[in-house]
Amino acid sequence: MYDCSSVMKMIDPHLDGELDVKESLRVQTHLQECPYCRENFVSEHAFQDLLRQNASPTPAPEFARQCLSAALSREARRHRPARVRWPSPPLFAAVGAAAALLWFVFVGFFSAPIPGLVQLAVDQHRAYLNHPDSLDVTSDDIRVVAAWLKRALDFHPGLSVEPVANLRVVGARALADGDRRAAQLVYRLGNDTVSLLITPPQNVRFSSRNVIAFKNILFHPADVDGYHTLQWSDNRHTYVLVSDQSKAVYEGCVICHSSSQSRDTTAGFQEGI
Amino acid sequence: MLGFGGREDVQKAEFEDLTLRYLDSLYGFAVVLTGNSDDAHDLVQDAYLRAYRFYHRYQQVTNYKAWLFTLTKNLFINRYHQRAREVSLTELEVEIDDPYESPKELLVAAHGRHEKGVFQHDFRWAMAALPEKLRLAVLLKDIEGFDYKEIAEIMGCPLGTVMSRLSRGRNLLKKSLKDYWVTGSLSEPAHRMRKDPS
Repeated sequence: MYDCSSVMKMIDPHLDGELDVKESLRVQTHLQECPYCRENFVSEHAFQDLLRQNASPTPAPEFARQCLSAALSREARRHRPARVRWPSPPLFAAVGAAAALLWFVFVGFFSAPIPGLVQLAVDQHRAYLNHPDSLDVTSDDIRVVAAWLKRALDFHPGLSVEPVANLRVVGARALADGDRRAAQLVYRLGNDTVSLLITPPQNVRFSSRNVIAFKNILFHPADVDGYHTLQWSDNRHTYVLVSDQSKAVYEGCVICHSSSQSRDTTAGFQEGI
Repeated sequence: MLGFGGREDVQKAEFEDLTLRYLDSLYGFAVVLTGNSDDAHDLVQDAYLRAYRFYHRYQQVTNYKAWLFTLTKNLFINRYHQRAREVSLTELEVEIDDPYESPKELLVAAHGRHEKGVFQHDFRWAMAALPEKLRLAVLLKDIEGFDYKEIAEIMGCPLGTVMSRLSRGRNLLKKSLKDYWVTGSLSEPAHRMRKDPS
């Protein structure tokens, strides 16, 4: 037979269903005979019920849910046999040669072949327009997108997280092929959709004929498959902007030059475009 | 476009179906372990990615919830060595024989609070004021519904330690709530609870 002190210590395990049958019967027998312990048992039962009915885990923020979903998508993609359609070096050379030949036959010597990165940016832009649900992360908060890209890529895309008037981020996708990494960001600029491809500046080719020099940076505009593109590099990354509106390509520059001062200094650049 | 499909997509969908339902629970657990939402976010994401890689290879887990919690705790121990030592999940504890706190008065006061819809809020504050080890025990039992053996495995401590922490955690919880609800005291620990909502 248990005494009150022993039973009081066993009330919690008894309520939690953790006692074996023998112990449980002994506790129940004591509770039937002892009003003091029975009263405490009933109170403890009621308190635990109250806790379990009202306690709920701290919900994960939507931001965490989005990041996790995107990370799992990326992890799943890592196991896939096929990867992003980034031309492999031999294929890249073959495609480049074929494009150069076609350009020579149909256009002449005066235009440069389309760099693979620009074509990739255009393909990804078109893919987004055809399948808007294909992004890895979707959010109108640039901080969410920047945080996700920072995790997903081996390089830091270095995005400004300051809000910019009329420019709204839609989401992003991480592109990978072997050691190559690129980020595709999609923005809404008024009624236009603008894509920005960002990649570390390794093995990147530029078209050589159409060049705008501005602030010590060479910008390479090109029209590809009916889209307007602008490619440039700074000391950290190579960028390709894609839009179906040339005006949007210029205005997309506010992505990197969002301050009013920067906007003033880019006025000359607009004329060049 | 990146239109791939196949076995990996099916596996991912299965994995998400089996595990994403525990995201809120795991996040709450990680917040207690790490002490802040940023680290909790990183810890939970790393735990899920590790779980997915394991699932991708083996798929032999039976209790996904307990598995995810154990994996998260182990990852925390490995990744946050310094803080893990501070939380010291496995250290021997000095047993303190707290005086028994009867919930009778508390229940009467709780009735009024419950009707006003503030009970959940008060409970969160009281939980936040508990020492980490006791809070983890109460969280794993009363919020997540694990049994003692599962809690011992997740925490990596003996069964007796689980019982002790749970009992002391519940007792402190009752005392905190009673101090606040019955006596209106905002000194200790209720005052601390109001200041520190983590």
